[in-house]
Amino acid sequence: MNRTLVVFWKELREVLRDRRVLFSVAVSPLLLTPLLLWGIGMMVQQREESARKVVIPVALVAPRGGEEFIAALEGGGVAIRRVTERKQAEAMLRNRQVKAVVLLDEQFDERLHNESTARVVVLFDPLNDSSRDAVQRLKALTEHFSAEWVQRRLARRFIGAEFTQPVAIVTQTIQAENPVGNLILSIILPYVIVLSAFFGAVSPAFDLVAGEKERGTIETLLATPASRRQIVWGKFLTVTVVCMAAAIFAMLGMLLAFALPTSSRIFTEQAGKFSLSLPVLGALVVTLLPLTVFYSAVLTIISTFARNQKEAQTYLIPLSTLIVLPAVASMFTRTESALWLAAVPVLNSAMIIKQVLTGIVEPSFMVLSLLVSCAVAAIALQIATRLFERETVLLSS
Amino acid sequence: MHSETRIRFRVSLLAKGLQRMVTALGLSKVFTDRKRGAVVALDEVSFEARPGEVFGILGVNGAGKTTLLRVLGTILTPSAGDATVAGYNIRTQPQEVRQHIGYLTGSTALYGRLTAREMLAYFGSLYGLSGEMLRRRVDELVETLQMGEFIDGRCDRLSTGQRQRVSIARSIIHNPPVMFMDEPTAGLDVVTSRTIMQFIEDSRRRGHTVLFSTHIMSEAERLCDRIAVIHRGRIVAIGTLEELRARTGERALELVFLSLIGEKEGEE
Repeated sequence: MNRTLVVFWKELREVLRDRRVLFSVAVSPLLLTPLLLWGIGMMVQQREESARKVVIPVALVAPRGGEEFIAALEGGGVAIRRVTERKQAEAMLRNRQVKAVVLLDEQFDERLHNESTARVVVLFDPLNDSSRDAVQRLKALTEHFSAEWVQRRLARRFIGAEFTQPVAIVTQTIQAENPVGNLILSIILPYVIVLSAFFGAVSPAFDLVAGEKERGTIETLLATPASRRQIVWGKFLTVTVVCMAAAIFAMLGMLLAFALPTSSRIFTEQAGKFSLSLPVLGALVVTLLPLTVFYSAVLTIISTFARNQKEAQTYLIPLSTLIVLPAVASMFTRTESALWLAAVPVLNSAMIIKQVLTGIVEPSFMVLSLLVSCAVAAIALQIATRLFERETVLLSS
Repeated sequence: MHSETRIRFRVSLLAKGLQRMVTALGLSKVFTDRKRGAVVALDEVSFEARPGEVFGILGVNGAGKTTLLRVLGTILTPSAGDATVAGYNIRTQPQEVRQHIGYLTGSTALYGRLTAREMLAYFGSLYGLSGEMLRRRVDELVETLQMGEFIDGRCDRLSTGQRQRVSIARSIIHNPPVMFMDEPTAGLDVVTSRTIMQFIEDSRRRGHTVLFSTHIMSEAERLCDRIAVIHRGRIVAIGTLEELRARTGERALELVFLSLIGEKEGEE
């Protein structure tokens, strides 16, 4: 067997027995990510439900009338506490005895019946979550009450409801099978994939060269007939496989999370319908290949240059910034992006993933992006190989 | 004729017929250090080692023993001079040199997540062994070095003595004619050191050449057929123990050694 492959299989075997790697590459994305999103979804759902059920205490200052409106509020889960003075109501709000204060216009009923606008003033505490929730509830109930009165006013004049809406807009998605979930995933997935691929491979990459120097196994390896190129390529291949596995598991973990009905509600009600076709998966793997080669080569460079794993970790901090920034930028960059972005490593891969997931693939962007990624990966790999052939770097520990 | 070419020509002549398993002529190694500038780790080292000979390289820490073995093992490239190992030139045939040497150091660690058997199979494959031949060689070493009890155990769970036996097996998996042993007993207890010493004696009996670097006088005294005393990168004396004793007029090797180093320092 080729010595590169001998090194590769041995390294892969060791990596597969490393619990840290298994946890970060497979267990965490496949188990923890769906669990985390499911947990957040449950919390959001519970909060929404409890917010719907809870009766909100509100102080009301209504000099005259407004009984119908007040009844509508009470019917919508608002407990009215009538007070005569605004100051008294404000004090109750400050003391958190009520969540909001409703001030009704003196001519509330007259304005309502005379086809004028009756004013409702709501006082609330912007620093208090439940006070803000109370405002939302009051707004919704008032809008509902208002809409009912519009119907009544129109009916009085024998006018249909269509009168107030001369034109109606109806939007329909052309992707019936993967609608909103696809859009949300296309924003989140590229970010998750490009970061997971990098951080998943950090531990094995540092263990494979810097770790060997630290443990003193590198010298015996260098004394075998395997050339340095064969050794570094075997190690580099292993890191690339781990990179790719980390990216794929991160993607599967997110899809699994979206498939869970509760967690998917955080993002969209329709996310459960999301599915990935084989061509889309194939395109993702093609995109990921140069990216993982680039990551793997860069991590091998650091691992070779560092005297031990601890030193490698210190180089990782500035490098992480260079990876995280373009990954974050991909979330805020439009899918149909400018061609020059194809020349920015990491961001270009994230943008292709985004394009593939939304089905808006720009061939020129894709080709240029893949060319740039391949070129950058080849340069990084060449540097890693050269560095590995330098005896002073390799034997420094 | 250019001096480098002349040295290479002489080295190849000397190695002919493998009368000399290791031949070094004028080997030098200079490192560039940011703080200290050019550091001469080896300074025109020349010697020969014969088949079936345990050739000791005796020197204090930092004398250049490890650098010498690394250069001969083609892990480092010499700055000047040349050498052959098992008839192969270290500059032009590094892969063949590595194919014919076994390399064992005191700081050698094992791959913790591999079993001892996997470790041996890995190195065997790197030396070009495969299939039935590799399996047979591993079984042979398991029997010879009595590793049956722990051969399928993970290396990170082995005792120091067991690890050292795996290290020895790893270094001879390809049955090399030349062994480079760089302070192989460093940090080991008496019992484990004894395993190494016995292994060196066995290698000599099998007709293998052993280059054995140490700073422990008793080991050199017991094992080495000839000793090269190395100091500050230079070989200050080569000979059998008796020859060195005669040269210095001292009996104990420790005093012989100190005397030789003193001689060298005196010259400077």
